[in-house]
Amino acid sequence: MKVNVVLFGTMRKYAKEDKFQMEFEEGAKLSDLLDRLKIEDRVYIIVLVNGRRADEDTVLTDGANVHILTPVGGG
Amino acid sequence: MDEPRWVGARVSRIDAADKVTGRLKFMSDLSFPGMLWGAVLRSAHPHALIKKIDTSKAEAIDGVVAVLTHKDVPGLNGFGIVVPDQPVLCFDKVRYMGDAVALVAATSKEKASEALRAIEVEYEPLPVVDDPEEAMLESSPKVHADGNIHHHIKVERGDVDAAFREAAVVVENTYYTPRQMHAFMETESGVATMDEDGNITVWCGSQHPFRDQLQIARALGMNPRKIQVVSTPTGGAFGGKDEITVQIYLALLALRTGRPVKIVLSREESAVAGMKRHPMKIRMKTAAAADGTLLANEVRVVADTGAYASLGGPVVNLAIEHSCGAYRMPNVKLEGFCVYTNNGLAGAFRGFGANQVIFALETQIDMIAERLGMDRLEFRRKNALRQGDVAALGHTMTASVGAVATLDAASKCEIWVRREELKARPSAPHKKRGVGIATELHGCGLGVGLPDYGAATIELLPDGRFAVGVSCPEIGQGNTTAFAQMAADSLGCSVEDIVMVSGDSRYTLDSGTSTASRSVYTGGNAIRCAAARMREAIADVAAEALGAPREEIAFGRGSVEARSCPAGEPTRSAGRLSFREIACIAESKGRRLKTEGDFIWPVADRGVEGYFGLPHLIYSYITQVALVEVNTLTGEVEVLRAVSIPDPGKAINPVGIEAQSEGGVVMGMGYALMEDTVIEQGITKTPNFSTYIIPTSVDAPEIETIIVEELEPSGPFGAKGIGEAVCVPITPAITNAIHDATGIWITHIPATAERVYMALRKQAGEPAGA
Repeated sequence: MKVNVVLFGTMRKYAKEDKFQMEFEEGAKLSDLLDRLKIEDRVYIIVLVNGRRADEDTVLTDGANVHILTPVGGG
Repeated sequence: MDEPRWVGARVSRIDAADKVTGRLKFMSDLSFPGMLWGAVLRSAHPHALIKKIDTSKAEAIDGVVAVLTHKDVPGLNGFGIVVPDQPVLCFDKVRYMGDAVALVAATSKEKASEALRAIEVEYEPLPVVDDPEEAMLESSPKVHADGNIHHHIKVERGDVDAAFREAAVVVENTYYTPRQMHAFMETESGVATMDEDGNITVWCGSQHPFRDQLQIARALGMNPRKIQVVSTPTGGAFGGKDEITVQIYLALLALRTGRPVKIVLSREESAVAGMKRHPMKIRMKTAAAADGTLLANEVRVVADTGAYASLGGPVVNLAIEHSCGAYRMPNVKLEGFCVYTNNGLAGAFRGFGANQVIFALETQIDMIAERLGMDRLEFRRKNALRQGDVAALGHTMTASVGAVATLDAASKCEIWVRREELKARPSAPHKKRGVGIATELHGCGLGVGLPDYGAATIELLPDGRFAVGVSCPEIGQGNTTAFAQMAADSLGCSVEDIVMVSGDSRYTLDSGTSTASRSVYTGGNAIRCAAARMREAIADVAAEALGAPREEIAFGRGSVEARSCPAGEPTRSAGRLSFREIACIAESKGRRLKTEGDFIWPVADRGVEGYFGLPHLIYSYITQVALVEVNTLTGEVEVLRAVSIPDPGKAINPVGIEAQSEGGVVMGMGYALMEDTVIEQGITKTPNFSTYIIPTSVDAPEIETIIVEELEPSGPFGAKGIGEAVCVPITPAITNAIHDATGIWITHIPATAERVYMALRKQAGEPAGA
């Protein structure tokens, strides 16, 4: 299955492009995606899967949109 | 769906009775058996190396349970929303007087204070960096090893130099704005507990419990799932509780002692250690053609962010975004610097960078109008953005735009229509009256490059009411009442049937911050989504229970019914079930109806290359008008009347909008006339309300709020956000009114009696010191 990934802000350092696709076997979890991107510091990050906060145990589905960012603020 | 019954109605706040009777427990009111008092040892110097910390004498005091230093921070010894450059507990140096060096927990407040006094810290003082422009020089002492310029943004569009050459009028000035204090009623306070499984709960007023959870987890080296943060109710925040305040200290002390620990900052400690609005020096050069068309704006902002970054970078970005206001501006050259000094700490504050630049811009606008001989309001209307326009940063204004509508309403308000008559009647011969006007647009949400998301939960309770969960904390702005109104209309029930759950990282889904004029828009859209799913779930239960086809289930107020409608016959009810009955039926089958909704903000069609958080797609708009009276003998300025004309999109609760508007006017008035945290050589000279002057009820003028609703199609029921804009243009409306009264221009706020008096003397050609 294919998953759409977008990296924001400082998380862009983990890939050559900001937006890309990744392929996984059925049943893959978010932790597999983070492993493959070599994102080791996972305490202060937010991952949205299809627009919702997700944790590492979240099972990915075909066509899922994954946004990875650090917590942000602003006005 | 039926016409809204609750949205748009003047609904009393759902937390009003508990607040006015004192029943509501704020975080500083909480108490637990065996609770200890925590306290923070702050720095003794604004800039110094730490040579030695000796806690032995403090530890020996009877009643002192724990004394912690940097060695006791198990995880990352740093915090900060964007970059964790602020130590939890300082180890090598201190950078401002509010820096935390040690923590204590003791059996009483007095014992905790005694322990703080007994901690011995050896410092080696360093030169104090207190001027942001000097701090930018390479030769300046470094507050942080990487240099004193934390953030720099530069945006150019068009050709400002050509525009200045061709312009009929060019106005150039330097503006100075003060370090405003949030002055929330409840200082930074809270309690932390730890259970037998090592789970920590932190009750602490703040603006984003889920982000606090991650910052605490990072410092404690713990799994965030073992940390719960509860942030509702918060006794006022205004941006000053967006960053971590005492949450990590509380969690560290609870972790060490295993007992509940409470910290309540004194007002003086809050004033020294807490966040402030960025003081800015703004150089602005603005040009217009002879027909009054604005041509160009060149802006240079230097912001003093104090010792640590917090949200200083985003604040400067938004200052740049808002520096051309609600106007078409085809040529811009905008530059901003966010600079470290040893002057306290600056970060998020209602308005988020707009207050400073709008004060400058709206003064420029009045100056240009005067030079061109044009009416101030007509000049603004001529240049105001319309839907479809390209804004200063190059993005297209595709969302609702209420700039002209608020100006039109201002043109009809009494103090504008009757301004000459009102000005002609001062209360004494030595007093002069003037009327000022100012307008702005204000970005809602987090802007391009920062995904802005929200989520809500709705659960049908056994008694037929609905529990609605949105994490954006209730910080006094009334968002839970607006959420309840939107939920009631989305579900088809009464506001009284909504039980709001807010600001709790365990019992709600992450819906982001209560900042950025975003919570009603975000939470409302997420509620709409969850409510639609709840109605589907209720309809499923009803269809099965009534034996009716699913498509024949219709919603009434607090109930559903099956309508059979054979061809050619009038609709009739075939059975009705209340929501309580639906809950009972579901319960009998072992089900609880619970749904979730989510939402992601739309963003502008283009960003600014290399930067995040700007521009915005959705803006609220506001025009404010002030009538002032200036005492020409003393320089004292009194605001007699103010009119506030916000465009919040749909006013979910007009009473709430009026309350925001009135509070905003008074806050913006304090910024214009009174408030400034004076820091000299890194030392705060105004640490309490005896020296830091804020407006009181005696100072508050008569305030009229006229709501203009330019509905936003992407908003819940057409709503946008209005929490920040209400305090912004009132400041230049007041200073422009001072000009209208006296002829002097105010370029340095607050316009204290002393400043106004000296300007009047200068105007009269008298020496300042005579």
